[in-house]
Amino acid sequence: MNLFHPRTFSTDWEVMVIDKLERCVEEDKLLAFAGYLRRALDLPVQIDWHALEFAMGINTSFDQFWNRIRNVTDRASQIVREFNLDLVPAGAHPVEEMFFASHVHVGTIHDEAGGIQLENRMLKYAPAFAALAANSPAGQKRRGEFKSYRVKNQAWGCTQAGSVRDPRVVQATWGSDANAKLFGHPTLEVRIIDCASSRRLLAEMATFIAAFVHHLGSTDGDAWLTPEDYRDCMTNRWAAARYGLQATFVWNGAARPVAEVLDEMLDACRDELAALGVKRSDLGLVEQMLQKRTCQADYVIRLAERYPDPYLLASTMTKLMRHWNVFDEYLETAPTLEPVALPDEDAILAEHLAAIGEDTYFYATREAMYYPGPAADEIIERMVQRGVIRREVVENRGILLSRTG
Amino acid sequence: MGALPIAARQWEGFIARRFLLSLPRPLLNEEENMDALLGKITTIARSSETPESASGPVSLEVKFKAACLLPQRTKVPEWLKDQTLTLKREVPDPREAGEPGDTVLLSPVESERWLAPLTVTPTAAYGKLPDTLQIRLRWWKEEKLPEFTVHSNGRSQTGQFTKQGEEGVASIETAPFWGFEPTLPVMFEVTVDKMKAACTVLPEREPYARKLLLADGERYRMENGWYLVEVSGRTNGGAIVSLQEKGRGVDHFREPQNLIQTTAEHGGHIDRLFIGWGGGQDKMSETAVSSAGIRREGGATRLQLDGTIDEGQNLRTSVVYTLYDHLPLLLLERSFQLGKGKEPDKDKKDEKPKEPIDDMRPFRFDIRPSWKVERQGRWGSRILNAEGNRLSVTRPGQVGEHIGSGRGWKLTDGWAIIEHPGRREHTLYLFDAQAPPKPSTFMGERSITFEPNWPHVPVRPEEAAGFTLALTAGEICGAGKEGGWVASRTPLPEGGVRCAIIGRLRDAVTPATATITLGGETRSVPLQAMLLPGVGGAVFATATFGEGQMDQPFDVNVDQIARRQSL
Repeated sequence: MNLFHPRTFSTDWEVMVIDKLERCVEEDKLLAFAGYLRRALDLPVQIDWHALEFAMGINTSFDQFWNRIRNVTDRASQIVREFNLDLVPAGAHPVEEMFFASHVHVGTIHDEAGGIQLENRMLKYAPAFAALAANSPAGQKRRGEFKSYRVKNQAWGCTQAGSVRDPRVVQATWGSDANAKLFGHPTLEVRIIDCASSRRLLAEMATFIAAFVHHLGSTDGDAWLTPEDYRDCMTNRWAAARYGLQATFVWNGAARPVAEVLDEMLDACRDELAALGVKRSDLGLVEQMLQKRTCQADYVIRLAERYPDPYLLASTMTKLMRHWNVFDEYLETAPTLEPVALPDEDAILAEHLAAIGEDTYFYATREAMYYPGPAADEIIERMVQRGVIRREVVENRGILLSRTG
Repeated sequence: MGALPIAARQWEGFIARRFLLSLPRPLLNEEENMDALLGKITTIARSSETPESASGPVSLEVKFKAACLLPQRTKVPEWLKDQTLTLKREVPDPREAGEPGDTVLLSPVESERWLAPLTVTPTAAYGKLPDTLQIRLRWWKEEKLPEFTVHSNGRSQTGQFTKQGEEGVASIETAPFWGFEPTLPVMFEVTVDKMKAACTVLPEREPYARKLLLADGERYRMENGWYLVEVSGRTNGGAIVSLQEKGRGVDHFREPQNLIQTTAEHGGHIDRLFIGWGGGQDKMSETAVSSAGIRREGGATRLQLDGTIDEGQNLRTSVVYTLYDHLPLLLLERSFQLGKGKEPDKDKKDEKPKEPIDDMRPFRFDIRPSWKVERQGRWGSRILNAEGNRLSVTRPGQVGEHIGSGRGWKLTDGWAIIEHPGRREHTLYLFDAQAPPKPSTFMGERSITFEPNWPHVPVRPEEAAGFTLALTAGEICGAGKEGGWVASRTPLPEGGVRCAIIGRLRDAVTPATATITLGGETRSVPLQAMLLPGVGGAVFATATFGEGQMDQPFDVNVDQIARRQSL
């Protein structure tokens, strides 16, 4: 079995462009830079919300990909600097509303049904990649509760918790954490990845993700999840967004630090890494991150502690991130962080309770951890029974929940 | 992975995100300056006390030229043009500070000495002239300090600063300017080159409205026995930036300190205009207004501000604030006027035909008051209003949550109370009960807003649209499905305390009586009806406790409208 042939991969890397009045450059002007780069590099460079989207074309090896990342970003830096602009790779802007991603495309796949089944299997693994990539702990003037506000907020609908899909009864869809995207490209796109601030990390991370997806595509696995399995996936997704590499996952029925899970995933795709021309030991940043349980968000959090004002933080991030390697350097001396315990049922209930104020429409609890209806409703029921919330059905407003204790 | 453009479904997501921009935004708000100086670095060097070889934080001397003020990126004060300023920064990584050509962003506190270099103390005095004015110059462009000039009563006096550290200080007596006891208000204006500062001496016991020059710019101040209200005319077509309860000394619209923020972002009241989906609001937010008249009449002080939102579209706005002398009540009347556009040239032969729809503008407007948020899980800042036959209590559960009328939330009787139970600070907004706006709220990390909006209306040239509201802020409130009220108190100059209740009740619960307790004394006072122009019916009651003190326990109950419990 091999769903991917030939084995290819790429990224769409969304990078902000910021001027010397610290404004994010608008899309209509970014079109000119994207067009210039498309012509100069023959790569499908695009634009997104206040971002240049560096689509890195089709790659078959780590070296090719790593060289391309450097070439594209060097060329892009040069053209934008002619206009006194900086490229700023970050998962979120501390003041503005945008989130940014480094989507990873894994190809080449022509079997859509196989792709959808792989999508289902990726529900288990996507949160681990989210933990590794977490890099949006400060955005929209919020900070500190999540290492990836982007994943927590589903990137405003652009990386949504996926559903278990039966290829026989589905239509093409877009925007989930991992998506068979044959309607646009012969790839499975892993969208849950926050924008990398480090070029080298992006190269390592995308290669790892591609190799792991190639590995899954060459192995049989159960593509059908039970409701309990699905709930665990959503718990892991929440933990990844909240704690990054400090998260502990529910893994095959037991608690397991996500760094160990990723370690195991790296081992599992050793052959596929080799097929992309790289050894596990070449992925030095990823290895170091797993050892220290430190992700890019931890670097931003350290900065944010010294810059409580969102504008000052944004200004500082602009000057640092444009160097592409500040996280790499930070990692050298960063302390090793401890894993955070797996949320127990009380913690899960507390997270749902935190979503409730007064006259809160019940659906807000769905957004706490993205549990599906029956699981989320069961938690509402428990909260009512414990007397911590009151449930009221109001004509025209539906089910409203209010904190009582 | 071909070189396809963004796929169709991606565009859907893209469009969805653009739509987010048109939703009421959390924008992306004490009297301190909220602006921050953004400069462009000319040189940057390790300061002499940090040797190149030292490890740990690096102390840098950054020289820069002022470029604009954040957050609005407005122009810098004239005295900073072409000046090279020097700042010290200590950073663990020199790259944080940047390089020549890069920006340097200062905090509001760091910016103060350059944005408001000239200060006078006091900026405002009451009842009589202060004996002396303390003048301070926190920054000057040259080593040699300049002269200052003080003007008042048509007289001028020039003086020299004394050097104190990097600053200049001076003291000047006020008596030589006046040979008699003046009728207040009067102003002492201090000038140094293009910088101005002022001390305004205001009447002590009389309601007034006046334009003042404060440390952070010009403000219009209105005052009666209950409130001190300050309005900024610099942005938003006029924004209430301070509403101080004089009795308790509480500013209901206080803002976080040393935080870069837009006007009224985290404390204050602004009005907004949206044309179509959202166009126009950017211009409205930048619209400065100036006084079109301040007058006292009929037991009230009235301040009118006018401004132009868009000259090309001939779109103007005016706002009238009326502060009643004897009640803690502020009336706000906002209008947006669309004038006739420029007539086409008569000899322009290729003018295209027009239909009435071509000149119509779809106006939608809202208000966006904001307050420091209380957020304690089980309780916190909330909005109370009658909704059909129930009392609606709305409190967002999470930071970043927006709740709007899309969820069926309604202001049935045109009133809403924003309650902060921990601080005992409550504001009642009253609107036209016949056509109330649609409620909406947003909770951010620092603030909570109340953003009721009036749906779109078609506006033709030479027409206007707008709204009227009344607001009262106090320390006790009550709310039920039959009505809501807020009570406050203020000390009287002759001694004693006056208490007031303002609310709106349904007919079913009127006439009603307020029971007011201050210290050990209780009074029962009937609530009286009043008609507020543009707002409709309201009720009020006042009671004077001749021996009352502000530090005595205060309690109010209104018949069938339950008093809310504070913490």
